[in-house]
Amino acid sequence: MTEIPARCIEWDEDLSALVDEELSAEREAELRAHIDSCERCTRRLQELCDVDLSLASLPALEVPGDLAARLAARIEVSQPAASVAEVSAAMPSRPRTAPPAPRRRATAVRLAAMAAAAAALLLAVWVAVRGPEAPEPVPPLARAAAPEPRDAATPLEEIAPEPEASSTQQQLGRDEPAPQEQPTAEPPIQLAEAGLPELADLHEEDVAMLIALEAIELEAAEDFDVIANLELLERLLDAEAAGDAG
Amino acid sequence: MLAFRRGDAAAFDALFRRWSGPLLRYLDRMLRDPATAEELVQEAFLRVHKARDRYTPEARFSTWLYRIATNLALNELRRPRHRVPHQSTDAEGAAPLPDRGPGTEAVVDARVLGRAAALELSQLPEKQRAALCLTALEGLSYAEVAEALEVTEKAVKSLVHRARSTLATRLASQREGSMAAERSVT
Repeated sequence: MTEIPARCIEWDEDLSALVDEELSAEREAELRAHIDSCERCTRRLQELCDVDLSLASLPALEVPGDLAARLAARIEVSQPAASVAEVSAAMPSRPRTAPPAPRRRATAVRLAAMAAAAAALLLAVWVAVRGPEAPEPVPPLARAAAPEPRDAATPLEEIAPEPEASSTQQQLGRDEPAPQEQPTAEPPIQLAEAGLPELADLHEEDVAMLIALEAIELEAAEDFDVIANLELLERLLDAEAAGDAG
Repeated sequence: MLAFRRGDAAAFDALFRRWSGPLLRYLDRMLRDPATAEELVQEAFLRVHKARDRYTPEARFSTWLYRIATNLALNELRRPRHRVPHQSTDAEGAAPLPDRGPGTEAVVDARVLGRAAALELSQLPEKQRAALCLTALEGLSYAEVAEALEVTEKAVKSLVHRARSTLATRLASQREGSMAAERSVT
């Protein structure tokens, strides 16, 4: 490495921080004053900037189109043993050693798995905001806004193709809140299979399924909508964090 | 509230869409191995999925994700089997450069330098490489990189400085060498 002149040593590390805009205004002003009178640091700053330009010029890999499907498949096979046992107990006729789902089902599996994960995220926040005693009926507004079963049921049926799956539609079509003690039939089974046994523990099956179906409906949304939603989520999480800290 | 639910319901899908590309780019820069980078992107999101109920919004999601990915990358790089970098999209000499035409010299030079930078990047110590990638390529602040690497901000500043300085010196040396070679030809 080239020897650094004595008068430049104290500035050398800050040159890189200047590229990253990580200096305080005061320190930056001091450094810029030094650079104006130092040929070596002027050249060095250019070289440091060139590094970033060179790295930025590298082509970025494209995300393979099937990466999400492969992830969904891995999520599906990595479910905790408890949820597998729960599914097996409730649906003894379904062999757990069945061969992997064919490729054409991957999209539906991915959608459901991702939707279920999203539901878990929401419930975690929802419960945190409302407190540990959270189980409450689903707000009527949310129920009224549930997507038409005709639109949403298809992917779920592909995951759980048994005839009982139609009870999901009936349940979603109800206007009254689900009884807390209702025997767990298809909805909790599907949720557990999708990785959400904790939702069944919370007795929030209806909420989770409703949210999951909305997620599926939203799959067709434009990217900017999704990003906007993400930003909204992050803002809410940040606000919650600030609330917890305060 | 309904809007929030809609947004949150699509959260995992949205997170994957938003971050799989940057994460793949970052891991490929770290490993110079697209196939392994893809595997680790999946692994990172799998861990996000598994840890979703343990996630606390103390940091931005992206920082948390990069922390997971960095740990995966560092583990991968420390595996004994970790290989000599194989052909990548940015591998030196992997693809022929386009013919030089009017106005394309700067672009070609940038690509040549980019390939050299990628090679030099892969020679850096792992944490320096991660710190520089996260800062210079992914745009994380020193505070965020500190969280992702589980070091102090001061350490990040030093890591980035050493990484960028090393690359700057080597690339400047290469540039001078190629200019000298051109002069000797003409």
